[in-house]
Amino acid sequence: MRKLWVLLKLNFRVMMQAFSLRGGAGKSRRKAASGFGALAVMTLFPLYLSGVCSFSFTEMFAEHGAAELTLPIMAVLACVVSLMFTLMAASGLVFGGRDSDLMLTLPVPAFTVVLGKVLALYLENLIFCGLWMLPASAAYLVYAGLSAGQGALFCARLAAALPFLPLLPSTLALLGGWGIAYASGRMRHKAAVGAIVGVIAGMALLAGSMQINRTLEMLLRNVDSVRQNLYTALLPFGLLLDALTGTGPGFGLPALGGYILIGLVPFFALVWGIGTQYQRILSRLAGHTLRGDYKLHGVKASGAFAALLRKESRRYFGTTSYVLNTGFGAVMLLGAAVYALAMRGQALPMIAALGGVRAVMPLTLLAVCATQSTINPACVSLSMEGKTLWLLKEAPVLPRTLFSAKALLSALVSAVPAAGSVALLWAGYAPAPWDALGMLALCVCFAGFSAVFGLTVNLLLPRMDCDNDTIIVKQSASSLIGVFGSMLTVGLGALLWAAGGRALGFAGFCALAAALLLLAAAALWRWICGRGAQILQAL
Amino acid sequence: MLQIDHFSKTYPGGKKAVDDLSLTVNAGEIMGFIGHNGAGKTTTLRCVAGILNFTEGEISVDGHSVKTQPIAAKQITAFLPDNPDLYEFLTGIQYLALIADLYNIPKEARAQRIQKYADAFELTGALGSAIGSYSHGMKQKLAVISALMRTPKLLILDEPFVGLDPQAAFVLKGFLHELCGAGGAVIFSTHVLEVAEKLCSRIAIIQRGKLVKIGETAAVVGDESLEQVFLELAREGGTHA
Repeated sequence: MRKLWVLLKLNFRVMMQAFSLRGGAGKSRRKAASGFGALAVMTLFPLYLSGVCSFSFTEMFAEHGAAELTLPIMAVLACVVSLMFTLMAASGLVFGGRDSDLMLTLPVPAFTVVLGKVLALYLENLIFCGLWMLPASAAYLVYAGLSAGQGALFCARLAAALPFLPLLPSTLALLGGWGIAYASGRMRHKAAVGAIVGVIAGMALLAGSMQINRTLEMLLRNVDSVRQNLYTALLPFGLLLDALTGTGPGFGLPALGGYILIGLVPFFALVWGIGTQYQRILSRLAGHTLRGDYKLHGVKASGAFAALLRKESRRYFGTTSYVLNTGFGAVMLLGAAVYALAMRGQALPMIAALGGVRAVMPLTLLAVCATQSTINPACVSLSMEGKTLWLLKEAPVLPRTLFSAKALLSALVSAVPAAGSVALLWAGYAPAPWDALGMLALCVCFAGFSAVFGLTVNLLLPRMDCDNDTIIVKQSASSLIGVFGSMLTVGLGALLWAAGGRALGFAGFCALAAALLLLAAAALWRWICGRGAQILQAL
Repeated sequence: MLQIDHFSKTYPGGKKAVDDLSLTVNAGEIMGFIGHNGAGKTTTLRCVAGILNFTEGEISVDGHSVKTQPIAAKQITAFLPDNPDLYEFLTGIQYLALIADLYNIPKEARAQRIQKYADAFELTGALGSAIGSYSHGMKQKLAVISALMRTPKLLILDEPFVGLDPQAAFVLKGFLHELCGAGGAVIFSTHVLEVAEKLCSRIAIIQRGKLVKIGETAAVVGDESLEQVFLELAREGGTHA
């Protein structure tokens, strides 16, 4: 037990270390502010999203006299979102850490090692689920009309049940992570296989979450069927509902017991199963094919910039967690555009009802740019250098050349799928040429701005000593601020449109916004090449 | 070739790693840089290579200031750290091509040099495999090849023989002599005093960031062994080697 506690503390510290701001450059007060900003974003994100959903759902359910249904529905969503966040982390933390050799040499059973890692994952999910269920519970208390005593009893039951909610997403994330590790361990191109499996899993999860929305709409029309579903396909959540609100004999205690068992048994069974195979899985993953038959025929030559860009590209597409966490938006953009093209026949009448293609262009632009803001490899590209940074600092290249290569790759990864999706929408829905061109230009400029912004954030909040790539790309402060900062920019653009930008017309607004983004990017680039170069030298 | 004048390096937090160090490495020389753990050897070598910044003193390579003309200085310098972390997602040949591109090595010359050094270190057959699949010694060999193929005027090596098998160490010593014969200079740190004594034309000993002895190897060693000299200096300085 003591060994488990030590390992748990270690793994949780590794996960949380990404938020730590030591090892960066700049003034400590500013770094601290940025770090707290990242933590605030992490805290506010589930609170805000859950708050909006919970109160609107509960209001609708309350009209049908079933305010309590908010609780299981929001619990389902908590699990889905947790799973989305921790699926890749599970693969990276449990099977991809660089501490595997050390872990396997410890005089600790593999079960304890795996449990220590998975419990760290569970703790992260617990924080998220706790924050997510807080507004849901508040909404229930507001709309259910409980007495003070009933409210207190509900809170006590919630406190007893909540710690077991994250077991389900943690189990599924571990299962998914195992699947990714298992598949990639059997293939020659492990990174590519990992990326493909990850994209498929992510798309399935996304499709599933869309189905939840549809199911919710459908079930709102028939509240009774909601209850039935909770005791068939969504049994853990039905038991959770009974545990929280049960009034029969036992006051929901049997339901609470069942709910805990459904969470605990698969969790520990899976951890035990993986524990028995852990050494074999890691050995297979660590095994590399070293060939000895290479014959040198000639070496291609290019300039320093092209070489650095090629190196960045190889790292990006060769690191599963990097490409999945910062490039999934590209798949979503192209997938959504292809879907919109395929559904053109059904979509056109709806668009006509909304006022035609021109009327929906701003919303489409908002969706494309919001998705683009999740594609930002630059915001962790310096941190990803880690211990290999000496190679770049030793090389006779200007920091500007290095920054250009990193920014260009990031801009291309965002601009190419965005431009592709705009082109597909243009082909399918025939917007006015100037509108389409304006949207195209704005998306390309936004990609450029995001890249430069991401690089700026990473220079201010570098994380050079992290042993796990997944943690860098998934939850380092620069990663969070890079993505949410870009989203904030999209929000400001929407505000600008609403505050009078529409008077310029769509194409005119796009031109203005593109110009503003280019100006902002130029200002940031100037800072990067000056102060940023000094920061790089000091790293 | 290498001129270090009154160089000091203080780390954030106030720890002075190197204090007023001055030394010269001339063309054709192999200088051994010796000191106990934490004496300031690696800090000095990393500052010479342009990896660490510094504010006090001046370092120049073939007349190019590391501080004010870093690109020109780096272009003629090669640095090999004690534990080279390389890009594991690249193959050996991709890594060498990257270095060749960064150092503007002509297309014809790069293949010829890679062939020469990779054959000598018996690594040619593995160049098509990912660096992630290499053993520690193979990574060390690849890093040595990438340093030598630049034909640097100044070669900086931090514990170069750690991880190399005896044959590769022998080959490396041969190439160091070849480089010096062609007018280059080598400075390397090591804890293997026998190697330093046999290989180096000059020796510099550093203690607690200060240079305590420098000169021709024969003059430094005198009638004793380098190990005895080093231990005596350590005792006088109140440190344990």
